[in-house]
Amino acid sequence: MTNPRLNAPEKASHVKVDKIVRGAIADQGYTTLHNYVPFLHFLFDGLRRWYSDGRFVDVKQKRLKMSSRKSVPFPDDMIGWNKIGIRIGNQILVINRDDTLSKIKEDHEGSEAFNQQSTLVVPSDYFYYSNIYTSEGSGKVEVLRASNPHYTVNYDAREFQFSSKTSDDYIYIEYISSNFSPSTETIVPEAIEYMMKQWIYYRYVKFKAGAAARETREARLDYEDAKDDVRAEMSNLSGAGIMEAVNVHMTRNSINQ
Amino acid sequence: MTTIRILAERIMRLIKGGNVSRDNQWDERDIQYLVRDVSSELIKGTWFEERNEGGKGIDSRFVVTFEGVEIKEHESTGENYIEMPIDSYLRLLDDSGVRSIRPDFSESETKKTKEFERKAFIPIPNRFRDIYSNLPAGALEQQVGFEIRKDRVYFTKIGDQTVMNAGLKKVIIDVATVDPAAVDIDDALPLPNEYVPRLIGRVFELLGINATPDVINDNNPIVTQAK
Repeated sequence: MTNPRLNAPEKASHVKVDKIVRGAIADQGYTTLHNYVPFLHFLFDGLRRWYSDGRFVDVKQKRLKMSSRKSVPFPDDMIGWNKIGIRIGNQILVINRDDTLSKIKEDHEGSEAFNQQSTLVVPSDYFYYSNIYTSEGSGKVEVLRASNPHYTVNYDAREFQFSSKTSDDYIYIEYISSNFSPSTETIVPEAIEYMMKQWIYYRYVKFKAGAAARETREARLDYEDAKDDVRAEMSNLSGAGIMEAVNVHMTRNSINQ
Repeated sequence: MTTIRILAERIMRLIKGGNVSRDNQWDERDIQYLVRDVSSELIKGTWFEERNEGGKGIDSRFVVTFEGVEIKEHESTGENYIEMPIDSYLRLLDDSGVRSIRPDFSESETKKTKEFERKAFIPIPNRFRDIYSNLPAGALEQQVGFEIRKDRVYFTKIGDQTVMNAGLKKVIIDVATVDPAAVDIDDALPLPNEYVPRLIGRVFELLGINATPDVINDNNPIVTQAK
């Protein structure tokens, strides 16, 4: 059976690990989820083998608490990041990088990042007027509204450093992880979905009670055929093939630049 | 519609060979208990037959659904669990007698419960934590697992939240069973009609009754001598 993905090689999309496991359960005609955990174990084993040459890309999201000097360290398994954001109400707002911010070199309390501009220009819409009432009467007072922070990257200290604190002291980061620590929500390229289902079936028949050698051998051959199809697709030197082979969510924000 | 009461009455009439008087060797309740026992035996037998023929499930007619089963919190460990709504269910090889457990939003749906994923929970094998503790599959992240321990079903956490803290109060559970709590004697018995003759024959066997009585006495044949 040919890999159905070969019919649409130009579409580089992803699927969750959970979907592959449930698909394998459905393919084999089971009507409950009692094989979910063993199949998940088989799938992780297959992913580890497939990505043993370091091609695995895991996009993660983390919430990190700011230090008192408005910085957060790089996650240990980060090789690059996609977005950094702050919580505004019920949304995560992406904030901008500003490399004019000075880098904090020393790790001690009281160090602060400050804008290198000689004069601080605050746009007028950063102010709002608040009514005040005192025993002497009422009036208006001008109040400086806190602006959304910007960030810079201190590679020496392996930190993101921010211009100001957030309202909840947390920073939200979406980044690319180098470690193989998958979960059911891990996303993998759709091109390997069929191959991984064949791998799950092969491991299942290999280890089930009363496994027949012939059935195990045929399942292994089916998996090898599917793997060859994927490799052939990835070696496609068309523009679509190159994008499929790269297939990472890298931006210019690489930790190694 | 076949009920346990109807089957018990039919079996009693077959035993007596007609109308059933009040003076009987067997009480109707004895027959009803046997009907339940044999029903479970037949359902399990059909499961093995289907497996041998390549089937992977169990007939939905054998499955009973319990709604609104309340989630509780263990006093000392803080784990969330439910009490099994019945005492006995089909004990199948892969523990699939408990077919499915999923969130129940029928009675209360707050904003928090709306956010709860509406997916069935993942059955966890026995000794799951021992075997999978250092394996990636052991985390089962973003999924809620359930583990049966004796007469309770315990749930795993989602991240660092219990299912109750995540907004869930009740669950729906599907079980393959003919337990009295699930199937009353006047409820439709979840057993297809084609299994009824086998059920009746098995009950007779358990009662030690020959279903086809030997009415001809051929122990002392009359031998005619040739003249």
